[in-house]
Amino acid sequence: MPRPLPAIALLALLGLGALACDALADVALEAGDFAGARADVHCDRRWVDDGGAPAAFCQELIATVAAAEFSDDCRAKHMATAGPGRCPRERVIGGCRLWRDNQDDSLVFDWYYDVTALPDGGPLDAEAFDSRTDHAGLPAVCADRSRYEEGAEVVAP
Amino acid sequence: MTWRSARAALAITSLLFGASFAGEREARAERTSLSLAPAEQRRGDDRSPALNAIFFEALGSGLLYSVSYERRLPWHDLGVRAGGSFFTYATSAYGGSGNLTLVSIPLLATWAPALSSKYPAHRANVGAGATVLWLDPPTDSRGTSYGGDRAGLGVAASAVLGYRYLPPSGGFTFALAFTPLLRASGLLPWGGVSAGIAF
Repeated sequence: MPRPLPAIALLALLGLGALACDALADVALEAGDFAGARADVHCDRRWVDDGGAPAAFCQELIATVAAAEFSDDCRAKHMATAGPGRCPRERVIGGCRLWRDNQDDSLVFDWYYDVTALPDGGPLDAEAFDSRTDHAGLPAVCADRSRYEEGAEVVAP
Repeated sequence: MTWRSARAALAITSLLFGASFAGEREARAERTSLSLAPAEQRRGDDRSPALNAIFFEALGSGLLYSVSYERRLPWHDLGVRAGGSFFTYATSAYGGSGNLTLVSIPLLATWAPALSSKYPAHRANVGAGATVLWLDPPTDSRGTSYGGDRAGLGVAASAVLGYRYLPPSGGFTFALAFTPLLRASGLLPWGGVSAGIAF
């Protein structure tokens, strides 16, 4: 009857397996990047479908392989407006760069807007928007750990 | 097609696939007899690797993987290799979203000289060529496509430098190589390991 593997050897094997999986994921990401699989995507929370709560920011992912999933999440979870590329910069106040470690090494930014007017200058009901801020209030928003668990830093547009 | 170009095409085909017409055969026999004594001729024949190989390569010139056919040419340890791979993956779990699809076609000229006359199965693995890449970006459930600037059809210059085990009598063959790929956007320092059958 074969001897059972000692627990430590089993743990070591599991650890090696996990490392191998991580390494394989990294390799696949490198290959995908070389072939052109990374894209930018944004979720503009200002413009929502019926039932959604508008917020004064837009989240963008830079160089991600999960752009399609992010786009679908944006519509399904927030009923917001998703699209390829970066967030619009018209009427932007500033942004928070999230210190989130995404598996695909993509970068995440939340860009906050002046919602007192439409991008073309037309009237807009600012009171309808969550997460409103201004230049002075942006550092506090980025530093808010209840909002950004991993932390964030202020970035200029 | 003129008679001369037809003859040239036939000559190339015969060199590639081993058959030779009379003039070529005589010329080769003359070259061999000039350069090798009879005993060395036999040893020289033994040193020649199997002329065909089919192998699977993990990573390497096909980027993620490839299945390739290689035809050794009957002179200077040269060969030509063509392969392909297909990879598709769902990047979004939402219904109606489209997969990311990657097709690669490595096309290489190879050179595999024996590292030692005593052990002709152990060879250098050198090659250069191109890898044709086609990436169809994934789409979200509304059909919006998300691909980078390099998505679509592209070509990468491809090189191979490594070790190869290729027995003269055929059989199991494997290789380990540094296989960098180069596109206008940058260099990918890459490597591959392959295994297959030579015959």
